[in-house]
Amino acid sequence: MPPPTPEDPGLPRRAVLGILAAGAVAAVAGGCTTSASGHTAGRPPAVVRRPRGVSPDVALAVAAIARIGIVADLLHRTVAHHRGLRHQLAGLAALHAAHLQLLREAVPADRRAAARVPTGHRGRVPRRQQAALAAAVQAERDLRPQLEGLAVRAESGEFARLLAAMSAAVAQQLAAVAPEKAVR
Amino acid sequence: MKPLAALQATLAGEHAAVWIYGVLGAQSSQSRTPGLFDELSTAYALHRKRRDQLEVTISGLDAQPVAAQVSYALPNPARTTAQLRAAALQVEQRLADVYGQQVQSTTHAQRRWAIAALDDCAVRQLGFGGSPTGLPGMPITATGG
Repeated sequence: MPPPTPEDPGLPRRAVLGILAAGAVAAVAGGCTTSASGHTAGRPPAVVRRPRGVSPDVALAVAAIARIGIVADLLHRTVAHHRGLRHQLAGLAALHAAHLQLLREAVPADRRAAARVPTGHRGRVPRRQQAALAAAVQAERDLRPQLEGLAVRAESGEFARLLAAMSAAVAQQLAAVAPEKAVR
Repeated sequence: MKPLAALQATLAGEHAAVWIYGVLGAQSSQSRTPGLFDELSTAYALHRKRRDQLEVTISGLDAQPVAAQVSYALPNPARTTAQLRAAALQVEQRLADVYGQQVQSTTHAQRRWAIAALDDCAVRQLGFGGSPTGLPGMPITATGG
């Protein structure tokens, strides 16, 4: 039986759109950043390289789009090679599509060009179906700590929560696809 | 919400979870429904551990950890297997929201810890009959564009 697709594919879109927009405006207006604890901090250390005037959370959103996109692309090619996995991976594919749409729409228009799925990261799809499934599951497992790492780095608490929720959603889908691998 | 308030809210949620799981475990049958009994027992132990960790964390901030209430309202009568599962599911769903708030309100190690707990709540929901959602731990404030 295929794992169920997310119950609320619509997601709280309007609320999420405001998260990064507010962060971008704050960065442009003041050149300052607001930490999750509510304290206003000065400019980030020089070692954090980002375009002047761009919210650091926008850069994290762009990174999240890239990382989710790589896994979504692998899933897409896996299903294309192994039609028998279509139903099993449908929930994850739908989830990534919804998350990508949410993140892309949240990135300001002038940064959308950077918010593309990078090429050159295309892992090979194994010929054997079980190996292909294992590779897809491993890619999903690898994605979770990446999203969580971005969530820890996020300056906006709301954006951190969004990224953490995305990771938790992947964890739920993984539990349905490969229960034995869902636990850390 | 300030970080300390978020931690206290999480602790209050864990106090409730420990109490409710205690009741649910007592209401379940190890011989008739061993799988459910194990799940409830595991959840009880985990939430008790989290409660203790939160108390240590809050005490470490020179604050008084919020105390548990004498009793809590059960989500349902908790008599049948279905009711026990539904009650446990509701506990995990509420805690996922609480941990989502902690992720939002804290930073660094406290946020990382909350992220791990949120993950666990999200996955544990499935064991009690829950379905995957698009964003566990996020408040559903609006849909559509």
